[in-house]
Amino acid sequence: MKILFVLCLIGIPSLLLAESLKKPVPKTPLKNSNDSGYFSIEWREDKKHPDAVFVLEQSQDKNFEETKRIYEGLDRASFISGLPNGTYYYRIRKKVNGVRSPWSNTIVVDIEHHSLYLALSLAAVGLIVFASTAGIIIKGVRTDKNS
Amino acid sequence: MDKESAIISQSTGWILLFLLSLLWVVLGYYWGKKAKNMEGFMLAGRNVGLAFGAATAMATWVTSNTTMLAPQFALQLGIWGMVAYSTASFGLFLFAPLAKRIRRLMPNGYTSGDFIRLRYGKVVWKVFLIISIFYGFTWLVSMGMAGGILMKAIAGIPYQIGMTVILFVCVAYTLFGGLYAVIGTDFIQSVIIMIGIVILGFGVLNYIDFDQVYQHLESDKPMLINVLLPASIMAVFNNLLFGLGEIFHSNVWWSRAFAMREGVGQKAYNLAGFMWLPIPIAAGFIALTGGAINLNVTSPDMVGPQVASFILGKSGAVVVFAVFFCSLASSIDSLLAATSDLLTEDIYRKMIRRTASEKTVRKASKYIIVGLGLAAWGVCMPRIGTLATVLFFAGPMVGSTIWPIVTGLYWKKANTKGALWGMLTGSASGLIAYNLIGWYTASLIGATVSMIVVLIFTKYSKESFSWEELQEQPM
Repeated sequence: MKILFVLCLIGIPSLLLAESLKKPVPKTPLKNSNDSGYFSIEWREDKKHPDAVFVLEQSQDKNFEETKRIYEGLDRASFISGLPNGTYYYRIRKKVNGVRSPWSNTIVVDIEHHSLYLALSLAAVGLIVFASTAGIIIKGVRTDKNS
Repeated sequence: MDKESAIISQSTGWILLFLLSLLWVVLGYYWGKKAKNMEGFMLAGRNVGLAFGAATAMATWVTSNTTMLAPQFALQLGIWGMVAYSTASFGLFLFAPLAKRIRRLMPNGYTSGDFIRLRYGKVVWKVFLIISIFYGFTWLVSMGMAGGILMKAIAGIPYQIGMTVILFVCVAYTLFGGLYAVIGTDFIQSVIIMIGIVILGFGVLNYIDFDQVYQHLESDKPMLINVLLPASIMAVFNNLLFGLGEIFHSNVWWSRAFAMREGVGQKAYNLAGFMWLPIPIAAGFIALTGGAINLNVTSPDMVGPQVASFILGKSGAVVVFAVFFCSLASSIDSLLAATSDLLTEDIYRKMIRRTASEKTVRKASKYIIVGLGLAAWGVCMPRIGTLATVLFFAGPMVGSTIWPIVTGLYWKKANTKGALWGMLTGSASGLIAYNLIGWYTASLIGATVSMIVVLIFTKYSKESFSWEELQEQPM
């Protein structure tokens, strides 16, 4: 009887809390395309539960069958970089006193880096501009010395 | 944005802030007594020696952009990002011979605006002033923002208060002492920065397991160690040209060239370049260690201070606080002084009141410093974007000034039309690239288009400029 009473004491508030814990709301748009390989995932704070712990997961599968935990803590953003081409899915949930909210809506990020051809062409152009600038200065210094 | 707790207590933060602020204001006041006339206030009597010259160039270039943006580059763009930031030292190396030539061609010069006006005429001068003042102001804003972000992250001091204090302190001592105060405080700030970087270096070496860092990057952020990451390849020359444009056109560097004693400028800028070069590489590397120590980065511009404080702990955070405060102050003061010189000399004295007495000009200069500080404060209040997005917006304009300045200093055939259209088309095309491709191409495109335009106009020019025209007598 006592055990049942204790269980009720712990269980009922938890059930009530679970009922009231809404899924986190992402601040980052749900569909994103990206060509630099870095971006931020942000979500809104829970004013009702200021000490809520947020969990951010990443997956390359839209059903999140294989997931990677990116972050767990009090922050409301996580900066992500260094990812190769591909589609990445993110979801957030919060935990309050051990009670977990449902997962947020899924954020999708399509990464397709700039073309290497464009990058190398621009780098070559940059090298020419730099070398020409340095060339003028070096030649100018020599002319100055001679005169 | 985040709920991270501060690394040191707010009271420790306030004590540090008070002590450092007091030190700079007192020193600024002390050195400011040397500024007996306008030349003393603006150019430190044109008598700055090698030690102070090299220290002020190095400290000014170790801005919040080095200590906060270099780690951000590494975190966003990986190894090339780290290298990209360090290429900004080429700006100092290549400006070294320019400083010597500037001092020789313009022994009575005051500002970079003077050179453009005398070399290319009033229309180019006005376009140049818009570019230069816009750039100076965005740099100032990016550093005011950095001050607020930093105080909040390390000591939990609210962003608005931290940003206000650092701007106020820098305005106060620049107001008291002009370039004397700026260069004097820069010297001490550069010593503190170098000591702090060495402490941080040892801390990182002791704490970090390099294998673990590599494994983490390989598994979680593989593109950061991929040498063919497209955005970072583009960023290398973009940043190099941005750095060149910043130094070549900005009055921050010209005023130092005028302020240094004959024969000092070239050596001082070379020395500053060598002292500066390893700092962004060290600062950038620590950003790559963030993942291996399970640090969540909420804003990329804070990764440097976050990792440094985490590795060094609470006592180390005090060192980090001092280093970052010094790096910010040494650049904010320089910008306040150099931009107010540009506004005072080029706009107030040359456009508005040509007959103003020296006393009136000095008074105006002080109002301008206060006004600049207030304007920067107003823009910093709402935190807009990251440091990179704020600063790199000026990139295309800055890049477009490289060729008009270099050819203007060395080629007699360089002419007004080339300089004007070089700046205009370079700025416009760079801004298009900024929006269409990304900030990491804006300066590169701006500089390239400007170079082509300047070359075309120079080829078909029949002008032959006489260098003596640059030797304007003081008003």
